[in-house]
Amino acid sequence: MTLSTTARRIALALTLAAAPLAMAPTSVQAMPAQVAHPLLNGVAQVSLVTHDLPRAKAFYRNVLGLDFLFESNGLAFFRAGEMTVMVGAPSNEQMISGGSTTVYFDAGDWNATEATLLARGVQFIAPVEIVERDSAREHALREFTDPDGNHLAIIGWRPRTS
Amino acid sequence: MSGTAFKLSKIAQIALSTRDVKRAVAFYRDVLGLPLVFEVSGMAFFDAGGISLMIGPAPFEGPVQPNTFIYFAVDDWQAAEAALTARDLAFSGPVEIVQRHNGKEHVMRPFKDPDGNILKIMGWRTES
Repeated sequence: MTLSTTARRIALALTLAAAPLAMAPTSVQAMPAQVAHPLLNGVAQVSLVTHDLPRAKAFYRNVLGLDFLFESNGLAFFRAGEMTVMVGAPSNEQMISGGSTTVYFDAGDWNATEATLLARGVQFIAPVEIVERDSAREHALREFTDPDGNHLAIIGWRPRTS
Repeated sequence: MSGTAFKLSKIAQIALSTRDVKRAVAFYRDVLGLPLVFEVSGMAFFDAGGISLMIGPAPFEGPVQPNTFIYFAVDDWQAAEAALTARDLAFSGPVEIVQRHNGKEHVMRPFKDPDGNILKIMGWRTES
């Protein structure tokens, strides 16, 4: 581990809070976005892998509450904002259970989201981490896994607890 | 209980792992052309159409373990494919056709970043 967890969280908070660069630490190196015509428009889809599609569908639809779009050829598609999440069997290049990618969902109402996930049996793998505070609120993050071990997290603002 | 109404919807960020942040920054900024928002504490954050793409050191030993594909949307398929090829990006597979509709085809093509994370471009082109 080359980097403290705290540092990762701070950086994450800076990004997600869209903090002005002037408020960021002095180590921040801002680069101009020089792209007049972007080559890539953004992320259209994220794929996650499962060895048990019915179980994964139940999790993403019933536990996380993502809108289920359709299922085709052993792949299930869910809406996630303007993106889709695809869940299906791994290709021979993919691994699961502790892979290298984490997908962070916007929690909206943090306290309701956390409570509901707990009530639905989600096993969080770490305590809540506070990445940033302002006078009234704190930016909270908590990690969990899906039934196949894919790394997920919720992130959002809640009233300050301390 | 707020349970029945509860839904997650929006993805806020995707994190990918690297063994070499400098090399990863060069790839995501210069080859893929994503705007670099900032670097801090050895991590780089890119704006991927409103979603934050975070590239940071892998928190474990050994090579990165791809478990997720990230699909980038492209408006002009031919231009994107040509530009990436001109930047010496080696696609890891042929074009895959997802569907055909009204003389257009929905296509995607896989490639890897320098650490082996699996990426794809996805968009529409005139039927070949």
